[in-house]
Amino acid sequence: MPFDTISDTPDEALLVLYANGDKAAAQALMMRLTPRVLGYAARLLSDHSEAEDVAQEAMLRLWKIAPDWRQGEAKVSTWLYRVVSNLCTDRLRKKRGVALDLVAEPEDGKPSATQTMIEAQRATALQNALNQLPQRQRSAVVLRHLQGATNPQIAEILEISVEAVESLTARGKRALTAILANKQDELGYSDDG
Amino acid sequence: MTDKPDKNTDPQGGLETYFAAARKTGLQPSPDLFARILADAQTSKTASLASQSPKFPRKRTGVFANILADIGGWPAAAGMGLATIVGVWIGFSQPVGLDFLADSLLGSNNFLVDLETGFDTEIWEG
Repeated sequence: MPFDTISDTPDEALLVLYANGDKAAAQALMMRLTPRVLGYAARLLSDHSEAEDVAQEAMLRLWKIAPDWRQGEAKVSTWLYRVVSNLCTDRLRKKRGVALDLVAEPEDGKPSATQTMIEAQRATALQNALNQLPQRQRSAVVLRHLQGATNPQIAEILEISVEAVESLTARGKRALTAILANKQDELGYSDDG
Repeated sequence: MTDKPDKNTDPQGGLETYFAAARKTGLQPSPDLFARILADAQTSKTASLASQSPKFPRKRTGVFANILADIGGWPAAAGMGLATIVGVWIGFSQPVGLDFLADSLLGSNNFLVDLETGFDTEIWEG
C-alpha cells in the first residue's frame, strides 16, 4: 500500500491490513500509535525505561489481537490506552518508588534558552505534581489534558462513566493546582504570566 | 478539547501553561524502540500465519463418540445393529419351519419324555 494512502487510512483498517500481511500497514500503525502510547505510559510511570517496556508490550498485544480484531467495537487507540493503563497499574502496584527521568534537564547558561528552561521546569513540576495524584486521577488528567482524549473516550479507557471521568479530572486539577501553587515562587515564571 | 484554565484558582500563568509545557517536552520513541516493536510485529505475523494453517477437524470427545470409538467405529456399530435386529426378528417370528426340521431329523413319530416325574423320583431317592 502506498505510504500517502496509508497516512489517511484509519487505525482499524491498518490493523486489518496488517493482519492480512501488509508490512507497511504495521509500520504506519507503529509510527502513529507508539508516541501516544509511550507518552501516556511515561506520564503514569514517570520512568523512561519502564514506559518503553510498556509501550512495546502494548503494541505486541495489538499485533497479537490483530487477526481476531472485532471491527466497530472499540477504537484501536482507545483499546491501546486501556492496555497501557492496565499494564501501568500492574507496574505501579509492584513498584511504589518514583523516578524523575522523564523530562530532560534544561541546558545551562544561554539567556535565549530561558523560556525553554522555564518550560522544562514547568513540565518537571507538573510531572512531580502528577506523581502525587491517585492513579485514577492521574490517568484521567493525563488522558484529558496531555493526550487530548475526550471524556467519553476516557470513560471507555478507564471503564467508568463519563460523570466519573469529569469528577476525576476536576479533583485531579484541583489537587494539581494546590500542589503547583506552592511551587510558583520556586519556578520563577511570574514574569510571563 | 482541553478545559479553559480558571485564572482565579489556577497557579499563576494557569494550569494550562503547565500542560502546554508538558506537551512540548513529551517523551519521543527512540529508534531502538521502533525497531523492537517492528520486530514484534513481524514475529507475531509469522506466528499468526502459522496458526491459520489448515488443521484436522476437532476430535469428538462426547460420551457417545467415546463409546463408538471403543467398539470400533461406525462399521462395528452397523454390524451390532444388524445382529440386534435379526435377533429380535428370530425371537418374535413363528417357528414355522421347525416342525419340518424336527420330523426330518427325529422321524415322524413324536415321543414325549416326562422329565418332571423322573426328576421328582430322583429327588426322593436322594
